[in-house]
Amino acid sequence: MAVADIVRSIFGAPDPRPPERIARDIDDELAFHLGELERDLVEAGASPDDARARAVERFGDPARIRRQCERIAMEDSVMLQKVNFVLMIVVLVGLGAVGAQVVITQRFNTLALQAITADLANMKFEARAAERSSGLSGGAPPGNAQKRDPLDLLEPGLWRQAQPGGLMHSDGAYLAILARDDVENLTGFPSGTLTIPRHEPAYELTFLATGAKNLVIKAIDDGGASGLPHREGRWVMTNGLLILNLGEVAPDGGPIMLVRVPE
Amino acid sequence: MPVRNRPELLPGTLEMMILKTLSIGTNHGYGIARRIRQVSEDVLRVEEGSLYPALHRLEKRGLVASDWRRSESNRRAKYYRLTPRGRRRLTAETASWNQLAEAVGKVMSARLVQEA
Repeated sequence: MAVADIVRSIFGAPDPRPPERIARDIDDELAFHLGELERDLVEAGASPDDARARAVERFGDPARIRRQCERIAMEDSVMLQKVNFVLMIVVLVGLGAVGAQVVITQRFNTLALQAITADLANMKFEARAAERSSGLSGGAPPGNAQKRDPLDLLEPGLWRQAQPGGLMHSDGAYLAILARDDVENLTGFPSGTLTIPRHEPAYELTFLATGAKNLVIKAIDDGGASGLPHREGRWVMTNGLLILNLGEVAPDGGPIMLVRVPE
Repeated sequence: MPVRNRPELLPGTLEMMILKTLSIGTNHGYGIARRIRQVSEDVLRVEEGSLYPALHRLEKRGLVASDWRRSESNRRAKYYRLTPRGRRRLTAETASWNQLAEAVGKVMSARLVQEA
């Protein structure tokens, strides 16, 4: 059975006639029946009045039957209107669901981006405040202080491989990215000792966190390469990373960041 | 002679009788009613108006089709005819009805003995 036949058997065939034409056809059809019946009754010997009365008696209430026929004729259009309405609701709900999904996803992404941006901005602000209070950037050239903000090093830039485990920025800053086994000598936090075995010369730092974001480098064993005094530094724990800003202890005089990569 | 206590039609039997009547040939509503009355020997003289809702439902379901013509009395009349789907439905309905009538007939004609 074709789909059209199934739909037709369930809902009926749509009647192409306008409603007034349907009503007129029903009237004509019922009037024909009553007229023929009256005529047969008269031919059988009934008077016209008697034939009319008996015809209505046998036929039933013409107005009621007319209403029944009209209802049947209009069923398809009413049913189609209902089907169209339901389909329209389904489509609207579907579009609404898709739209809501898009809006929720965009909103989530926006909020996540805002949170990350705010986090980075906060870190930058705190880093600058800490440097101002600790004088970490005091030795750096005036023009380089802003460029060498350690947290700026996290942003995309021109990096090249400097040596195993480290990246050199075009500005000369150095970023040491440490795997967990590189910091196995990190004996504790906020105080501990950090060994950078792949760094040449090897660093061994002993530090003590002195506040929420600050630490004191108690000792640096770099084989005498840097010859820099022990300085104060700063630490940040973010996104599972421990970032130690050790200030101007790098061989090139720039800030060095030691990033502990989580497992 | 009119029958006072005419048996009531089972649901669906009026439509089945319309299909059967139209299987003989095209006819208008009045002709269908007249034929049912004649063949049933006045036993099944249903309220003739009830024929039209049944006819219109059959037409809507595609079991009968119709067109307007001039009748024998030269009046404009709506003539119905059986469609191929209507003919298939009639075959199925006839088989089902015969099975039902036979089963009911067996029960009604059986000599039932009350169990002790």
